[in-house]
Amino acid sequence: MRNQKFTESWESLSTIQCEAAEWDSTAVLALAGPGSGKTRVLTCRIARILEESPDQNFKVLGLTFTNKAADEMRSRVESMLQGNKNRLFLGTFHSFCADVLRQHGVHLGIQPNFQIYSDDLDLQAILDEAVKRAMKTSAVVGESDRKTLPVIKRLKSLLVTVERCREKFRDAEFGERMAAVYPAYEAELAKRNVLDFESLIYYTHRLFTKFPVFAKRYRTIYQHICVDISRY
Amino acid sequence: MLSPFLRRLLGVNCDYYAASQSSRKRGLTWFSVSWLPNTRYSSYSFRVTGITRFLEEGSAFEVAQHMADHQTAGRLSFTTNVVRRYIWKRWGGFGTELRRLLGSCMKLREVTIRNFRCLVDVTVPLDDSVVLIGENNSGKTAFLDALRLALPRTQPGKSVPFHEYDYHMAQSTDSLKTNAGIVIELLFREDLPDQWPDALIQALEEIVQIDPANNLNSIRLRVTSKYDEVMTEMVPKWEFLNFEGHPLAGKAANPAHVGRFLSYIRVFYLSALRDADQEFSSRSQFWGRILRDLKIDDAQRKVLQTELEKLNTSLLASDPRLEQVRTAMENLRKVLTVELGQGVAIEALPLQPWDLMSKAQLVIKPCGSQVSFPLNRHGQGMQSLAVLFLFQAYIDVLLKPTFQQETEAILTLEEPEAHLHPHAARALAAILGEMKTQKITSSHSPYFVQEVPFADIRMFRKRGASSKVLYLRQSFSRKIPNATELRTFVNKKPGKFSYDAESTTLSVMGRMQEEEYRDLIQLYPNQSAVQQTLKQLRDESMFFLSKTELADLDTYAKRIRGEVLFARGWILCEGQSEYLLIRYFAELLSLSLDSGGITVIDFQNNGSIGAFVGLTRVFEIPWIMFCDNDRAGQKFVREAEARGLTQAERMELIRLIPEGMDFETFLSHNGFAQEYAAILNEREMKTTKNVGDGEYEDKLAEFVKKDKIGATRMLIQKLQASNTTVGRVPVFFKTLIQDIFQKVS
Repeated sequence: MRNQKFTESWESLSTIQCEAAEWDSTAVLALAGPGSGKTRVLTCRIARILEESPDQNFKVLGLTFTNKAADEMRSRVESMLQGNKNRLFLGTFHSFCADVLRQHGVHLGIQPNFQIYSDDLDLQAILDEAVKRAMKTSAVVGESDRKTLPVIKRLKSLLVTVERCREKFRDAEFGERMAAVYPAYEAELAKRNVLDFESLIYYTHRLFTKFPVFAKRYRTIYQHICVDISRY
Repeated sequence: MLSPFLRRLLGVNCDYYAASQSSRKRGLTWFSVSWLPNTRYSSYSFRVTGITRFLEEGSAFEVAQHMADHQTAGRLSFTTNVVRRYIWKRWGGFGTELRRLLGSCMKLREVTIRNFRCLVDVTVPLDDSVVLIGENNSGKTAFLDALRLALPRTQPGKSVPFHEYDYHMAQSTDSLKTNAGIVIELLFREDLPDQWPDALIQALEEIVQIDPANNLNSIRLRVTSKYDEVMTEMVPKWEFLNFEGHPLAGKAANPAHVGRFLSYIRVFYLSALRDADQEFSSRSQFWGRILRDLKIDDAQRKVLQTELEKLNTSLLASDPRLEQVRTAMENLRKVLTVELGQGVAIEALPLQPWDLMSKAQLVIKPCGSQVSFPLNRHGQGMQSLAVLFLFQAYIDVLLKPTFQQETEAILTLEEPEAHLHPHAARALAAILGEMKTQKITSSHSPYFVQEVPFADIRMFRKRGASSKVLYLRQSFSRKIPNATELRTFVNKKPGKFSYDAESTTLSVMGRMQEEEYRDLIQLYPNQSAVQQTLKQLRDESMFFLSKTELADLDTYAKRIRGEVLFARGWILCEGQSEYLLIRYFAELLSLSLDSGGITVIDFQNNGSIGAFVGLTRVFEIPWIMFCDNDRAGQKFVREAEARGLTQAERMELIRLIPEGMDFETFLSHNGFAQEYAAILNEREMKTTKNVGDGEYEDKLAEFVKKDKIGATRMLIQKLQASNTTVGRVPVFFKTLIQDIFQKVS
């Protein structure tokens, strides 16, 4: 049974929005300017999918960039539903990845009880330690490499592995230094059972590509994946 | 023509199909199948090879047909086993439909129990059906109880399901506070990738683990109960584990998952005393549930109710005295406020259909009788059987509708053979085999065990204050460091050796030959620890019994299988005459083989000596073997030795009849010539040699050997008639019998 909220939200959609929310046969992309109701379409769509399949077990994955957007969307979807609330994961990319790694990260050597460091001060302390260590084994690494935190973050967000780090730099000498600092930084994180923000996506990607069976597993569980992107 | 079964395999919803068998050679068959494009597969062709290796005769098509026949006869479980064990591997890549159809359910594959009663530390692998055997008090019931307590009916709360005496304590100084605590670990695992249905994985997403090495899904549940310093009491804990055995963290640690998981797996327990009165009451776990779930629509209920009322009225009208009673009872109105008219009524029968149904009972008309009796008026055996079938009915009819579509039952069953006639016990084993649920049965009946393959036996043996569990193994593993040549070695022997680099585990599926062992040793020069591990692996692999050997044992030793497994010790001899005489000698020695639990096995009639020696190793049964000291005897000895006996074991356990003689010649030379001569005399046979001639005894034996068993029987009769004393038992047999008694005690 559709509740009042559901009907109200649904009726507020325009014809084209309605069509997008009801679309079932292929993937659908809603491309529109700010304030034109993309999130509303997505919310109705998720509520509809869940409401139409009360005796099934599959889940819907809703991903956003910010926690605020996720929370807003969740409360809206939940107000439109009677039950089925457990069949929805609504969160940020990072929180989803953190979940994946808590559950299966052990296959990449990540313990389930890892901590997440999001503060740059914490990460800088780790980098300092890493540079100190790297200086012992590599002649090219120097004190100035303590400033490479943004470089490392960038490498990780581009999903560059430790092994392929060297070839990514036009400046060969800098590449050489990063090839020593980057692994040292990763080793320091691992030693403390800590992941930084970029690691969450980096390792989830690694898990899904190294062991495709996990990607398949998430495809099985989440038959619908809805992504709300407000920036690009 | 494609059988309906194959059709179902290929596309559950296909409404049109065309099949052609394009070529049919021995062991290689092509099918191509196509049907309307709106189904999941628009066209599909597949090749089946090598199936003939399984059935030895006929083609894959016949195998499939054979499966289909069993399928239509409702024997899906048989088909399931056949397909799972032999065919599926060759049909990989067939899509998931087949797997789904042939048992998609969650099955318990391994149980580890620590510190629970006498089970101090046991790990037991489980198949779809296993049978627990062992003497009383060896831990069979403890094993079943542990399962039941670890998988309760509802979400476990804070109360401890274990009794104080459930915590293993061996010393008088042990107490609950010092106890290491009970640990029960259950592993549910797929047998093939993608076997579990998506719905199950979706529902239990947080706790289902997947092993990327073999793509198998599994769920590991651990139940612990231990003294908690803070709470100052015993605290139980249910938690799911990852594949390394660590508890899952984060969302997966939510206790609500336990309840959810339990709705997918239900353990049912039927005790040895299956009381039909109790099980068929409206409060019972199966019958009551079936009655309560009765669905009658409103219109029909009204009709029924009117009918019942009519029946009630005519029953009451049949005897006017009832009306008098009713009128007398109307006097109640003088004291209490009661409705006028029909305020007081007599109901001869319940007027509500559900009330009536709660009184429903099963009646059975015995053969040759005109009258149906209620079940509880039948014999114990009938009652006991009825309860079993009631369970089956419950599983078939109500399990899935009550819980989830994917819910599976585990039936734990104690002594299903209780009160049954031998033939009924054997038939029951077959019936149980066909039940689709996973079954764990404990049994004390040789007749029941006769029908159980050796591979399904789990033998519990008491060792001091604790118990161990013994079973046949198909593979043996040890952790061995990787080496480049190891990969080459393993690749040369696919199917026998395998190596998992991630867990550095070397497995061997067969007996490791001497040259294989040497080759392996050479890969690790100067690493004595690794060499030692390899030696252990080789020795352990001698426990292996091949499929052929098992098939031989299953065929030939069927008659005695029940008995041999319940024996506490074995004397292995060649034939029946040895069998008869050794039993007689034991009698003379006043040592009763039966009360000692010792079975004499004439191995030549029941399989090969090697297979029996293999069994003694697996099930740790004490044994002594004796045989003729001739060429055939030497062959038996070599066969037994090939099971990896040490020199000392060989000297102690394998005994050749002394002085290079065979059984009859030995007896003839050792005091029984007189009786042998008398037997020949009775049969009017004459020997050319006379007493005192060098070859007299040999000649006698030669004649006797023409009818060994008959002569032995006559020999025993003569000895019995002449009140023979213990002094005549040859020393060789005397020590042998005394030795086996010593080993057993």
